[in-house]
Amino acid sequence: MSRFTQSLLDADARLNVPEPARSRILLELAADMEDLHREYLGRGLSADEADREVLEHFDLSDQALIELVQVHDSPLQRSLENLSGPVRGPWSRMLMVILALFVTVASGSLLFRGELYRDASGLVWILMPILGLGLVIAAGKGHRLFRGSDTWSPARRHSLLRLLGLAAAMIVVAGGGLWFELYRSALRIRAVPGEALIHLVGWLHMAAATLVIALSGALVLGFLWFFLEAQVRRQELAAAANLLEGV
Amino acid sequence: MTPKQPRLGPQSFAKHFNEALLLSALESGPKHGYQLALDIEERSEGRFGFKHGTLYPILHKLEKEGLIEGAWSDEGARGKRKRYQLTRDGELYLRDLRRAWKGFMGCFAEVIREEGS
Repeated sequence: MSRFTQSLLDADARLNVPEPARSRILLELAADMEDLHREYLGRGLSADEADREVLEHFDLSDQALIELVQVHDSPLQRSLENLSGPVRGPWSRMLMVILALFVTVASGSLLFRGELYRDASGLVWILMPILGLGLVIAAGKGHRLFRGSDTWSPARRHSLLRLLGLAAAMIVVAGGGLWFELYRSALRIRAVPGEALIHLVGWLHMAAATLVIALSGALVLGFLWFFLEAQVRRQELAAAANLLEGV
Repeated sequence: MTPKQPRLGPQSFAKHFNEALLLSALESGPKHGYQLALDIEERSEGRFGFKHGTLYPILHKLEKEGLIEGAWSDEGARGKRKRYQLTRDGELYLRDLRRAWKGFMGCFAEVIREEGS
């Protein structure tokens, strides 16, 4: 048992960080406290003096722990973990794959038709690069996750959130753009009231095509995020289990 | 490409101050958290003491941002230990940080310059 066990237990009780991050933090603190203690003994301090110095250096105050919590547990991250949590089991993952296949088969043929893109608003020139960027990020991330080194690093989660951000951007761009197009149609109707039906139907047609592209793209990015997030989580838990082995 | 650019100013002074100290202490090679604090204290002749309560949140944040990398190793009887090292992104960020600090300190010295000197 470490001479700093009591301090670490106190810190543990106040460290509101989800596992496995919490175990990793405490293990790091415990190891460094022991090493610093050894360092002070080597400098000629008595064991009691070294204890005091270490505890003074390792400020495990509420404020210090709050700062650690802020690094490891943002409300956004926790919400996303709750969101992706239910699809971590094998059955839920299989259900997700079936759902993805269903969506692909149902809308796939439509998405590969050139007329869909001709019917859509000019916003498609903004939506497609956003989707392309998301696919490039997902491919790079997937390559690093599946082909990279086995060493776990918190940076692995880095940039995953961008996929969700890009999915949201596609929906916002499409939604905002459609209101703008509706306004333009309204101006045309006001100018020539007799052609109201033509402009309204034209807008509906364009809106439907644009939304199909935006929502399909967002769905693809969402699926990729689920898939990569689950892989990151699996690697994180495996690394934590490996680290805590024998402790 | 540098992942982020330091924007030094009065609001971010403490953050960039701590980041510059930690990243430059890691330039000479991988170190444990406690070694970083001791190293900075010694190099600054006691002027910049690092409380570990402040140290770990900054280290973990830098690690999340990919500027440093923490690796656990089994050190035999001592058990498992975590050591940090600079990443390529971290090296680039440190270079930009140094440049930003030089500009900031030059400007500061100019502003507080004694009249007539």
